[in-house]
Amino acid sequence: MFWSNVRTVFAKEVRDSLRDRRAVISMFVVPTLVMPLLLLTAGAITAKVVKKAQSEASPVTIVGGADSPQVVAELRADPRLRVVEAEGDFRRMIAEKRVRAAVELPAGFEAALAAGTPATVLLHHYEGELKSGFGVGELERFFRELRERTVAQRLAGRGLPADLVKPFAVQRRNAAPPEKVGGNLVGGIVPYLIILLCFTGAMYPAIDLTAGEKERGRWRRCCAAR
Amino acid sequence: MIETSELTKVFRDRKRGEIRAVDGLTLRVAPGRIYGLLGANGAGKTTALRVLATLLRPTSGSASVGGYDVVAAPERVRAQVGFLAASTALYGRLTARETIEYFGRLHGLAEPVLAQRLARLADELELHEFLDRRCDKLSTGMKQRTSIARTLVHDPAVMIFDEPTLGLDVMAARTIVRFVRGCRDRGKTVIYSTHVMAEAEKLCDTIGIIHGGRLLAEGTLAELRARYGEPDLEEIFVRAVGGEPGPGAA
Repeated sequence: MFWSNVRTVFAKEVRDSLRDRRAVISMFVVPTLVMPLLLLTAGAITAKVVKKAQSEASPVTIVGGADSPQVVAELRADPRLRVVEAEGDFRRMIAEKRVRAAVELPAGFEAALAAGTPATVLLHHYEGELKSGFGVGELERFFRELRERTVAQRLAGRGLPADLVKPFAVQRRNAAPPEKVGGNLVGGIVPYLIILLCFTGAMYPAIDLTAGEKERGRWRRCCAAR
Repeated sequence: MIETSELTKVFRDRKRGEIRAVDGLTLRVAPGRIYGLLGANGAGKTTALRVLATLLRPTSGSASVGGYDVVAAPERVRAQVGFLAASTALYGRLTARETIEYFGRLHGLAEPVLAQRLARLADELELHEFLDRRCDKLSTGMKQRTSIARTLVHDPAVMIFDEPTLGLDVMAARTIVRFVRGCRDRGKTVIYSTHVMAEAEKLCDTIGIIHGGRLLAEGTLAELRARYGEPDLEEIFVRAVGGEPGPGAA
């Protein structure tokens, strides 16, 4: 009796749901068309925004550096950076997103470089903010290049080859065919997407069959039957 | 046959504490009789009927329908019970035919028997005109007739009516009243809850006045009139529930 009732209720619910335009839209149209379209659109917009943010020169400000004119000039000359004059508190400028990041040069930075004594450059940024991440990334790239140049100059000054501190290189090479790489990426995403879309499609009928039926008082009639 | 003995149903509410919706209800309804459960809103009528229909488990006491205990053999009880309330609660997107067939199948009727019953009910209740129309397109009267057919599809020996005319217009209410009488005439055991005095007077062979979950008075209309010295059922009801002092009270 139990399983025959389960079959009866299931068949009735399927019929009932398929005649409900809202349920049909929620079950089929939303997961197969609306959700993928939304995901694709959102992905495309995000990619566009990220690309634009990456392509722009990052506005940054310099704190200190009065005794390091060469470094400041190089920062100003970098095409990937746009140096903005500091107006008041640089932290506030970052928080208000007027600049993406700030570089704080220690006193006597250039002199320290020339003397070969260690110095610390501070990079200030807005944690978790996308554009600030790009800005601080550009500053890191600038100082990484400056460090490499400085090391190369010091080695040259001592008559040593530049590759002394880089005795060998490590490179990655993809051994898989490109179509397999693409398939692997898609294969990793699609199952999760299908699960998500199944949940999306099942959500409306599930709510309608449980809370909806209880609200309409029909459960009582079914429970009063065998 | 419906029998209850000291039937009690207690609900526990966090804010209101213990609520005795039905308190020691004892009654007996014989086949071919209509027992009217008369009470104000919140008197415990619906709770008592839901216990009889096995929708609720009693806290204590016992109840049997057609000889089967509502707790020990709820499936057998449900097989004998038809439950009708004012709200039809039909499935709007199913046709009248599909609705009746659905409940017939839930009651375990074989397909040939179901087809036979459906044909007979369609004749008796004049459903042919709208049998294949979706329920949400039916008029109130048509919905009510569909609801009656659904209740009768398994040919129950016991009919439970929970304020079935509540909110209905005169014509729809008359259909229900005629149907209730028809049930009695066919020898079914009928229990009918209402707070409409006129309905109880017209329909019920025995009237039980329920208040605060307790059965305060019981008898035929004539017996109640004799006991309270009042011809009017409304006056009898008010006196039974202790709302107003009677004319003889000093």
